[in-house]
Amino acid sequence: MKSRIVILIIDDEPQIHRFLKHSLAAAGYHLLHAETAAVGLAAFSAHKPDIIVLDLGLPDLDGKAVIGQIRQTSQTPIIVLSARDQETEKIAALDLGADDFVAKPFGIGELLARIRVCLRANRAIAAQTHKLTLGDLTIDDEAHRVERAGNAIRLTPKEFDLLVLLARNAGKVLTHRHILQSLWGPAHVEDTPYLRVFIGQLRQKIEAEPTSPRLILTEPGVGYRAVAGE
Amino acid sequence: MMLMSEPALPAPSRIPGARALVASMLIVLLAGLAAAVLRPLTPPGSIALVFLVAVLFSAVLYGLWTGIAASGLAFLALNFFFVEPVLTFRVALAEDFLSLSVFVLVAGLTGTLAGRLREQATAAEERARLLEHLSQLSSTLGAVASEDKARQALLHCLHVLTGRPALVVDHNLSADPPMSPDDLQAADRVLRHGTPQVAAASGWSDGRYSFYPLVIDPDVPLVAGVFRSGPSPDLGRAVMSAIEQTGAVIHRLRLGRIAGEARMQAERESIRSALLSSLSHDLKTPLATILGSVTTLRELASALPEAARNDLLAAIEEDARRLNAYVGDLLHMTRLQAGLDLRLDWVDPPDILDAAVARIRRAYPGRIIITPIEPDLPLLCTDASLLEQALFNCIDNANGIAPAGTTITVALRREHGTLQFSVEDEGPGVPADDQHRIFEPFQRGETGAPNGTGLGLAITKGIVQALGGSLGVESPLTPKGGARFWLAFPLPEGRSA
Repeated sequence: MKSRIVILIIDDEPQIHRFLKHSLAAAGYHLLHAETAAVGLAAFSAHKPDIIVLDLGLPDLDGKAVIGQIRQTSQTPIIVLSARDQETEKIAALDLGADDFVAKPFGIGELLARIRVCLRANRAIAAQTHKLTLGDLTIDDEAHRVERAGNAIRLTPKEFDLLVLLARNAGKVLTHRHILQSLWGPAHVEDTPYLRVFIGQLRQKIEAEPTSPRLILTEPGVGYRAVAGE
Repeated sequence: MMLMSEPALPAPSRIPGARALVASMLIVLLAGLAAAVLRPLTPPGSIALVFLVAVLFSAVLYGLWTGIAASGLAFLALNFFFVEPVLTFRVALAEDFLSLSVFVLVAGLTGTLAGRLREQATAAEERARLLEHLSQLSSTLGAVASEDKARQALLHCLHVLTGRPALVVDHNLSADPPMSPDDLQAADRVLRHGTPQVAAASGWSDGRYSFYPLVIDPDVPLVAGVFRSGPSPDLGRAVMSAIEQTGAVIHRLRLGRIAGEARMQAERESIRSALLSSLSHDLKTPLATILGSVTTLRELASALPEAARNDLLAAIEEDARRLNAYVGDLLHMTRLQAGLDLRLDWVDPPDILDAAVARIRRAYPGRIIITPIEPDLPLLCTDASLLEQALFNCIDNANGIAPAGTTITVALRREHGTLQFSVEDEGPGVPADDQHRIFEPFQRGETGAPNGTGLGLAITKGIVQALGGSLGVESPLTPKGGARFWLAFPLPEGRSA
């Protein structure tokens, strides 16, 4: 049993490795470095890291291909580092199975928060519980009940499913495509406006101020993220 | 080729001209004289044969209708002058009547057949002539590169085909010489509707041209105008064929131009997106280091050992410098694109080389640089600081590519009447495919310097061109690789020896 959590960083910029080496070590993680996809994939199969931080712009192989190869054998969380102009790449990476993304440049706090959420979600998969919380909401998946401070909130079945899906992945970004596929099926993966309407209705019912939501956050162009309970 | 309906040109006229009729009358007259001379010497039946020869001649020389006219004339002459009673059209003897009838039949038949043969021969010649002009047109069209040239070729061809003036009219409706109002209207109708307009017969209207669609195109249609004449169906077909061929060629030229424009547009787009992604990468990466390091120092300071803190600070400093250099390069590039203010003066070329090398040595003290300089070089009239920057970028590029510990050679010598600076490295070399675009902005080769801005060599190129020089790269120099970048400047007149 590993005592320390191992993070594999695959990025072709030595300067990124340089500061991550110090910051992630200070945060208590053990680090593996790779500057190419080939070295990264080899390190992945040799050392079985707990989480992977992957830059999309690698010199030898497309970052998406790296995700595809890892996902063939493993569900190890993957956090993608992307530049602003890689918007579509980023969404494709998430749809291929990456767990989350951090846009460059980023503060270390943001990356550490994403890492924590991914690691926790990974552990939570084993312990599926039907009692969830999201901010000050309590959600009972089995009884189909949502309460705030003892007061029940009435949701339609679809709104409830949407809330549960987001709450179960609290802290993680879910792409439009992923949500549409999970709740409405593969025939509706392109119906983003539809989803927008449902999110709006749900926010009306659960957010204190629906115009500045705090529980369900929008990731522009990518999807939605339920706020992580710390 | 496109199939088009039969041209609606006027029906051909075979009515013989006055000249042909007069000529055939003369021929019959000659035959009559010959017959008068021969009359005492020959049996009466032979007289008819003399006239028959005349009919044959007329038909062969002037065609069907002339032949028939000649046979009629010959019949009358024979009847009037040679059949009893002479000098009347009456026929006294039954056998004379019979032989005259046979004569009319034979003469008519001969005239008809010979005339038709004649006309067929003429038509065949005409067709051959038309075909030759058409094939000339199509070989000309095969080589034309512009719409204008194609229009000229068509005008020339229509002119030699019809022997009359021709026009090509576009939506401006301008023509040289100017068209009559009726012609203008007809041309305009054809431009709008794409259906041919045939000129009315002479006297019916002012319009002298028949117009046919040349290019049917909603934006820039063209019509061809052919001067009203009485062409044969063959000529009509040839005119239509010439117009069709030219139309197809112009259409092809336009499609080619559109495709070319689309290709250029795509190229510009791809350069723009390479530029954007490079800008984003080159600005974001140092910023990511700086932001990441700063937030680490602030948020995790207590958990960081002293050495880690120092390393983070060093990383921040390095990447701030990198950003600065990058922004400097971008400004340089902008200034180059906006046009340079050259400060020309006579300079000693080795001074420039020394300055650039000294700057590199300050930046990278560990690098081995050797500088072979040919003695007794002439002065060069140039902008010293720009040239130094161009050379510096070249050396900087080599320094970024070549592995540590290898040597860079910066040389200066005369070469083919030019003064040549060269920078030689022992790096991996530049693949042949990359050599033509290595001087373009944001083109880092596969083996390029990972930390370069992608602008250094583009700036070098911009400066060298502004200073009237040329530049290039040779690679590989050895089986292991290596590259030699050179900048050459023409030596002043009379000093190149």
